[in-house]
Amino acid sequence: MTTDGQELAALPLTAPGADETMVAIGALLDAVRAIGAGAGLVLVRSTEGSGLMFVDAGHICWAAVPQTKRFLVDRLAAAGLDREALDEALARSRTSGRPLGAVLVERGDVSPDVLAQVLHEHSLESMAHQIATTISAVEVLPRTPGAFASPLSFPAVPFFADLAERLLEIPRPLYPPSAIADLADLTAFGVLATDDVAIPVRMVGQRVPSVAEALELATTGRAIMTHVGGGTASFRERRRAWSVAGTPDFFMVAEGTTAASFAWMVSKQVPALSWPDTDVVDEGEIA
Amino acid sequence: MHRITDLLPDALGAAVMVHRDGAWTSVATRGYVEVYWALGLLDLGQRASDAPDAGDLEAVVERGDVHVVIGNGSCAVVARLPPGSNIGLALGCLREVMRSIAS
Repeated sequence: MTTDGQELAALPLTAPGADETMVAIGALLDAVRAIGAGAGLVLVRSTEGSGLMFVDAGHICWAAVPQTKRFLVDRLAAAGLDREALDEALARSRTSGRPLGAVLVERGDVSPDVLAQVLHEHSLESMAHQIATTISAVEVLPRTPGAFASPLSFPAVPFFADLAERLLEIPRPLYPPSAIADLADLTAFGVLATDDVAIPVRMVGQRVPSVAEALELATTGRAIMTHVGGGTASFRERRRAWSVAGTPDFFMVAEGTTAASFAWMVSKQVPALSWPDTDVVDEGEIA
Repeated sequence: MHRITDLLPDALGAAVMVHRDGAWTSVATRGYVEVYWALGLLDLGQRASDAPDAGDLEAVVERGDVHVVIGNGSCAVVARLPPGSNIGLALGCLREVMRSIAS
């Protein structure tokens, strides 16, 4: 999956509906998982051209799609930066080869927080635009670890959850962040699932999982919810506890390492759901 | 099974199963309980485990009624309870049954 320029996913050349959008986000998540702790470029080909996502150590550092027609400088100007200062910084960036954002922060033209917000929005909108134009393939081009490392990068799972939020209709979470505020060890997020794909869509827990962890929990959760039909299923084995609550197409997953986490999983109620009828069969005499 | 009956008098169903000669066999049952469903649940849970075969896996499922299941590679116990049952008590009871099977 990580060989140079390997195509990770060939996606349907149809107008993207909800399922195709989920498949596309799933393919991007797979690409970031394939990069793992290293660095890489994710090339996102579509009928309108190719976009790029720069990934380093499980963080999204930058994403750009030429056809969005909205450049970083435009966003920075909209955020209140002076055009003249921007032009000076841009010229310095081009001559020095340093990123524009780094030059702007160094000059005091923008705070790191504002720059991070602008970069995040730009990356998010670029990927949203690319997915909306029908992706035909996703490829990974490995790079040296640390190649894109930046203090202004974004953990991948919340990034893609935000992306899904922008493109899909996401049900409200079955429990809010306040319900687990005391459980710092808990990973918790919503999952939107079909037969083909299961993607994290709404972060709730304080702990941010890696893409590999999130996809594994999402896939496991889908299998368990399909088996259960709907409801809450909580598991514990030694120090690890995990839980799935919802229906097969939208559910919350949680994972923790303390007895308190398991107790919370078992005690939580999700009364908003209507449970399917339970088929109770007398299977007492199995052999 | 007597222990389950004593401690969980409201149980709608319960079963104790052992794995022998490559197949699961129920050694005691009471009422109605979805045994294969419970074993399937344990199997899915064990696939999600960090360390399969590391010990007992406990599962609590609420979908109208409540299923409490504890199992490992050699034995399993399941109880089906009405909504609102004391899950802590049920877990404690089933753990005791698992210990008695192991001893």
